[in-house]
Amino acid sequence: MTEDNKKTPEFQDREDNRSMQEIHSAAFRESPLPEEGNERGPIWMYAVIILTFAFGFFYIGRYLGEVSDRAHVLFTAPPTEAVEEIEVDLIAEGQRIYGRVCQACHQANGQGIAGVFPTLAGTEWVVEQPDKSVLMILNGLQGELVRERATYNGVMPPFARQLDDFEIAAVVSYIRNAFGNEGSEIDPDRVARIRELTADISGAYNPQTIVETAARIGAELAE
Amino acid sequence: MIRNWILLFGIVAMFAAAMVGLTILPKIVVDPRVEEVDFGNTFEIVQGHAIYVREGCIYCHSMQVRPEGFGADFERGWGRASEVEDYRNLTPHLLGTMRTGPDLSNIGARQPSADWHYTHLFQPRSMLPGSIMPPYPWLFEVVNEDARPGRQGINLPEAYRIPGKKVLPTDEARYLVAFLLSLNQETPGVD
Amino acid sequence: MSTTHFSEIDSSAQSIRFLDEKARNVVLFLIVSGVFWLLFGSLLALLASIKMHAPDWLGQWSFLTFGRVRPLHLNTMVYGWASMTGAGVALWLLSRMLRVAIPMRPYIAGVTVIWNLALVVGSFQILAGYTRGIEWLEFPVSTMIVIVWCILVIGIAAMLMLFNRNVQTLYVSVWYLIAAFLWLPLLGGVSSLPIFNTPTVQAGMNWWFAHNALGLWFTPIGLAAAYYFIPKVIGRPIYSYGLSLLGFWGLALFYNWNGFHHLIGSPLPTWFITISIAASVMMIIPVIVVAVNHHMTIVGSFSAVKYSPTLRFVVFAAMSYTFVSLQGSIQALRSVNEVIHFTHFVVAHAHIGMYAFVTMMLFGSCYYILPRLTNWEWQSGKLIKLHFWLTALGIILYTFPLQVGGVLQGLAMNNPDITFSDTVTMTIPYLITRSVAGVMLTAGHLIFAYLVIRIVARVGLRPAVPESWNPKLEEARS
Repeated sequence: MTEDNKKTPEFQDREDNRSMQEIHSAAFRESPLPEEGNERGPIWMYAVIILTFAFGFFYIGRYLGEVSDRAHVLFTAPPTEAVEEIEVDLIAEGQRIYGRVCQACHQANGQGIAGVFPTLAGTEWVVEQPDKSVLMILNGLQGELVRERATYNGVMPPFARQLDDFEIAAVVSYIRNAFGNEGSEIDPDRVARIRELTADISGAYNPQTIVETAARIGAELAE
Repeated sequence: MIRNWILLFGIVAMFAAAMVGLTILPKIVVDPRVEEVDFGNTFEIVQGHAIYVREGCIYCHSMQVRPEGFGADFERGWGRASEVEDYRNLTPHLLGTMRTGPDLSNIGARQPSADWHYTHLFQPRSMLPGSIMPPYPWLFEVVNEDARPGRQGINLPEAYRIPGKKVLPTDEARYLVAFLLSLNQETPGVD
Repeated sequence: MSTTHFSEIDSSAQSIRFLDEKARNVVLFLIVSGVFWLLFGSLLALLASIKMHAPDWLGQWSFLTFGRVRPLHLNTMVYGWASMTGAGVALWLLSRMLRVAIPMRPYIAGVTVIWNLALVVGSFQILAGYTRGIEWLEFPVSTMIVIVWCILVIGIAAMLMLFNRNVQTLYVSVWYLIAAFLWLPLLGGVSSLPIFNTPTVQAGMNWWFAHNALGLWFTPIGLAAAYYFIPKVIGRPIYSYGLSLLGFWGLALFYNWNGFHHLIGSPLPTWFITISIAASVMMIIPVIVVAVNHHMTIVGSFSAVKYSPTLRFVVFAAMSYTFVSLQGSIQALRSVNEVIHFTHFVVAHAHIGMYAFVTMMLFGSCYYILPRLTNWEWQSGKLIKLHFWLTALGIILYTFPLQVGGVLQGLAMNNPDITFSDTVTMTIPYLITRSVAGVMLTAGHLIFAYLVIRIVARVGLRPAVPESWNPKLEEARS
């Protein structure tokens, strides 16, 4: 403690010039820290403590699951009784899929972005020739695409691995009946057939090959 | 003095117990599952991961899909519940805790178009009008229309085009997009 | 009074004066550095907050992008403002309660310089993109180790005080402070180990660290200040020693295990997460005990809050602690977490913890400590009141609407029929409210910084009647 015994010159200086009382006014106006009491606390507090313990142990028992490296244990609800396949509204389902898959490019109103993403409203390949929509969704499309209002030169990615036949049918049905379009619903079986017939095609179509392919499968589907 | 030591010992013991329980034990349990896996991380993916970290994407995008039935992650099409193998062993981890933007665990499958990503990174509002994502113009260079023949500028909507100029992605943008496209729950090497 | 050998001083007030004299330079240095980082952090906070609803604002500069400004805001507030000021307050409290002068003063001053430099370097690193990329640990490991080392040196001084103390019993605040000075270097050390090299394990370490940085460093400092200042200012003893004991060991036992509640639904093995959730719920025990202990101490003397700026901030902070901790316990439950995880609710929750509790507690502590260290008075009682109301109302305006917005956002996110972009646009009014609240908080900080500069520089006349001392406090005490 030798260091503490030494007074800094500054400290000494002020001590010399002013009265202790004055310098230490801040300290003198404090009351000392009182000793702690020793009360027991209210009963309800102990009740809360016991209940919390009980809940904690219950929770561990209920949700610990298994001591392993597995994640998501006891998260997924156990499979309920096999529900009879209810009549699903293709268009409503399609709207949901459109929102999560297509909307980023073709926009919520289906108008696309002029010069970047083609519109779906009133489009021939959607309303009159839905097979082309299905082909495009399966394998994608790239290459220069000349349309009335703009020329597009982007890439539409393939979704064959991501969407199943039902989902493709649903989303095509939706875009045929939204944005002012009017058209029939597409049967998932038809999508399955198209997928089968184009199974040998890899890579994206371009505006020529998609027309050729559509003509080819159109003939085969008609049989 | 004995009082001091009881205090110090108790404090350190409580800490050590939790440290073993929440850092060492998970390591022992989880590490063996990913040690031997070859994730096929290319140079582009590793660099892209670093850029993702550098730009702080994690503060708005999570990369962990919760299991079906817990939240609506599955119904939103963000993919199946994440597993420890999904992360390609790239650190720092990018699990994230915020979804100001959508989850990106499966973005490579959900949005496989590199073009879209370039345009979106350059100006998010050109693709998604209500987006609050920051733009990343420093990942791109704006050059004269006739410069660098053979390289096509990114597709920009009318409102965001710069007359007489084209916008080219830099290597950093290419790496970042390569990393984003690698985020695919069907990636080989991942179950 | 020609000699002031410590052992010769019997009078409480004189020995206190001696201790304060010794503490003055190092504690002032730490607090003033902290206030600087508070202002810098507030600026970053405003930038980040406004960028959330005006994303193109200053969007052309990479170093001001949201993804860099936000982590730097967190790091300067946590390792700059709260840690530095907290360390200063902790040293002063230990010196007072153990009746021993702060040792190693030149070293502490030295590490404070190094600490500030590390923060400056770290700030450039994050803005330039050299981030470690782990939330709460964005400073590169090398920078972080320097900061942890600085706190370790200050912690050694704290340990020396413990072993050289001049009192027999250890007051409850001492336990908390000693624990804090042990826990933070341990936490910082473990989190810097290069063994967490698989992503999910690192995520576990990340949230174990981040939650413990609050729970095992700032919370003990905040509670120690509350345990000291409440009885000190109102002049009544702490209600129960037994409850203090229970509260402290309960915190030490349960808080450590809380971190994984940030990872509910993540691919980490479920049983770790379940244990964390249970521990988070168990936190109710120490929180209720501490709340009862504080409430029963202050009950009947609430009017003293009107006259003492310290008590006003400290009581606000202590109440916030109870609120935020109970909220945290509820948030950890799966069914609640399902909604609020990944939303702005958690951001607001974190700010109740770090601001309404920790920061307000540090403000209160500074209002008590600085006049005693400087022998000067606060410039203006009106400005102190303004500071209190700006920050108190500011943080309420920040957190309450944002939590409401966070719940709505979470509910919308769990409804697959609402498109994701709608869950973004619906939060924008709440984000704008946050920016407004941020301006209020920053205005409060500017007032506080002005007052600190005035009192440290001892500018102006010393008031004849101390502004922060109201004679009515005497009456209110009884």
